[in-house]
Amino acid sequence: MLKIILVVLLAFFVQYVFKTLLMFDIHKRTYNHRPGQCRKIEGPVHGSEDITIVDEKNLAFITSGLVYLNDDPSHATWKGEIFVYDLTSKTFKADSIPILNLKYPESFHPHGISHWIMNDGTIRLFVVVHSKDFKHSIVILDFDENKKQLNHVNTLVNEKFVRPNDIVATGENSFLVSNDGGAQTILGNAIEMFTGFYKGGLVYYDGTETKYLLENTVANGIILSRDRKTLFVSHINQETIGVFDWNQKKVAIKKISEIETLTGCDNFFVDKEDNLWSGCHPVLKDAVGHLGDYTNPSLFSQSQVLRFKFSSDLKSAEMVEVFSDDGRFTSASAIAATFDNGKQLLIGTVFRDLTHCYIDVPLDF
Amino acid sequence: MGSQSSFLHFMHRFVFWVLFAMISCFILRVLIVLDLNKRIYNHTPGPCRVLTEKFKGTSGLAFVESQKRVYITLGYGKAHNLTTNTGIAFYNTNRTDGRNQQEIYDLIEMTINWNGNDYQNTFIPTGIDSFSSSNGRVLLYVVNSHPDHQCIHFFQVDNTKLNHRKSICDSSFTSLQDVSVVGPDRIFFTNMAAFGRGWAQVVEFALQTGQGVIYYYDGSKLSIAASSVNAPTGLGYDSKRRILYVGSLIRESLFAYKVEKDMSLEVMYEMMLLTSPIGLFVESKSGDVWIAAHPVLHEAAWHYTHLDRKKFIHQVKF
Repeated sequence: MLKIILVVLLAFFVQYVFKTLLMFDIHKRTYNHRPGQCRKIEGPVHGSEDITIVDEKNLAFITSGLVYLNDDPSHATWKGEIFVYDLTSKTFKADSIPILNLKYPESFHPHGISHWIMNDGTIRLFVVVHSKDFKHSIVILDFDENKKQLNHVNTLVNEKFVRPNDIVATGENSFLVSNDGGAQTILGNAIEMFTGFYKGGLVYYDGTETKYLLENTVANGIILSRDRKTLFVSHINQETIGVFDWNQKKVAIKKISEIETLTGCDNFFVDKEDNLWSGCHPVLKDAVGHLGDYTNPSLFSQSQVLRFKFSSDLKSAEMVEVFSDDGRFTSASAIAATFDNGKQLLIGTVFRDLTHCYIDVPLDF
Repeated sequence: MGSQSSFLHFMHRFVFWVLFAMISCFILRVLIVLDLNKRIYNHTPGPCRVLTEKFKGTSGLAFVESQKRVYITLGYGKAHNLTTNTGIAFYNTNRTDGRNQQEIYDLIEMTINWNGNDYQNTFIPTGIDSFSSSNGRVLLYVVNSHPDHQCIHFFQVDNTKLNHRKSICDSSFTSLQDVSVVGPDRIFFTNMAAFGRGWAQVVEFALQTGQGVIYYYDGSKLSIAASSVNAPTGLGYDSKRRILYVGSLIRESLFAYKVEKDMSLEVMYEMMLLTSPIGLFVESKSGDVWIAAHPVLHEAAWHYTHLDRKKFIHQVKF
């Protein structure tokens, strides 16, 4: 009997080791290719983790200066910033926008970002923010177009913002926020990853109260479709994308499908044709190495931009790889956003700079 | 007596655990080689089109710069029991001769003069390479992949006709793959495995023992240039640098061999591609290597056994 148990345990251990090796993509590499000419956008150097594009104004807002699972606050020597990039200009230069009336400006390290156009046309930004000692909040800012500055509106702290990663605005004061896990330290995060017992999820804030929509999972990037009826959630550690029906009136989600990507997709963008774009981490072992020691300039990890064209029932998607890099040019892509009718592309990275590419190749076959 | 039996007991357990570890490693290596955690994401370098669907298999290409032609072997699927014609065609890369849009993408099928040899019924061409002499003569070297007639056929090009010159066949040729020319009638070619097909070949690949061979033929004599190579497939020769590139299907790598003056091969390096190379092309001027590969091996294996279904392809340039 003991021998049988031992053999079963051994078999379980062997399959666990194998699955872990596959999870870390030990047998994968990238092969560089670009859709056209690419270059760096001057401006963000300490990350360009998330981008929100305001079509009405042809502006892209980019978060920079992420602090993540920071065990030692004194290591976070860089500034958290929000950059704005004029999509109609050809300067390839993004400007850092001053943020006024923040209570603790030195603790402003932005992560995910989303926007909402107010009734009076003001652009309102919703930003996931971490402090140097990795405390979390959602900061709401209004963009003053004339003065090119951001005015602080509100800072929200809530026990359900366990480890917020991304955010989607659903109204002037409401939003969805994703928690990409529960651990607050590198060791705790490693335990979550290796055991598979994730404590992240999805939370809805209606302006006064929060509500869990998903629990005990990994929810990294999130975004709504253009008609705001479909929610896409990146389950980055499982290398899948969850597709949900979103009913804002009932504050309810219903799962439609789960798309296997076999790559770690981070944040999302939805283009005018309702294609889903994502910056992905195709080789997890290298991403972990780079992201675990992001201040080390000699470390980098692969980048991959995917475009997903969904079937009408949202149960399957055709995937096109628009950009792929071994990390030497673009390291650890986190977001990809297109503009100019799909002819230009911005690629944000977790801890490095921002890449711009022209798209000169057909993406529909 | 007691210590002897406890020693035997210890050895018994030790051997068990070593065997267990070896078998586990072996199984894991096989599963990893099958690319279970991989998939392909479509992209093309520009607009693409299918040139022909008439033949089941277009597995070999050879570019002849002097003629601006790409010679293509047709009908490899017949080696895997698909019903198809076989042959050789060429694609004219010269697009400035005033042809219309349709003609630009036409393949010209060549007629083959076998010069009395009875090879027509067993002709299933796959790997191909060419040699252009200074007087304009173009010679083609074609791997024949018929299960019962593994040979290298030598042809001379006569406009749209091929004249068969000779063949080299040997009982040790079990799974010929590709050929690379290093001079007039001097060729390297690969034999991928000891077993030609079926479960025996599958087991051979799973064991990853390396029973493949690189042969060298100097115009009259056949010799083994490299033995115990793990599933060698495509070949490409950089004549300027005298480097022979050889793809390894199972190791998912590219070997670079220095070709010495006596045509012996010395391993320079192995580049891990993490995709299974099948066909190689070396640009003569730059020395860049283009590789056609099977990026997800379990899907490729499925396709080879279910030939009516499509599979992923991958092209890498370095």
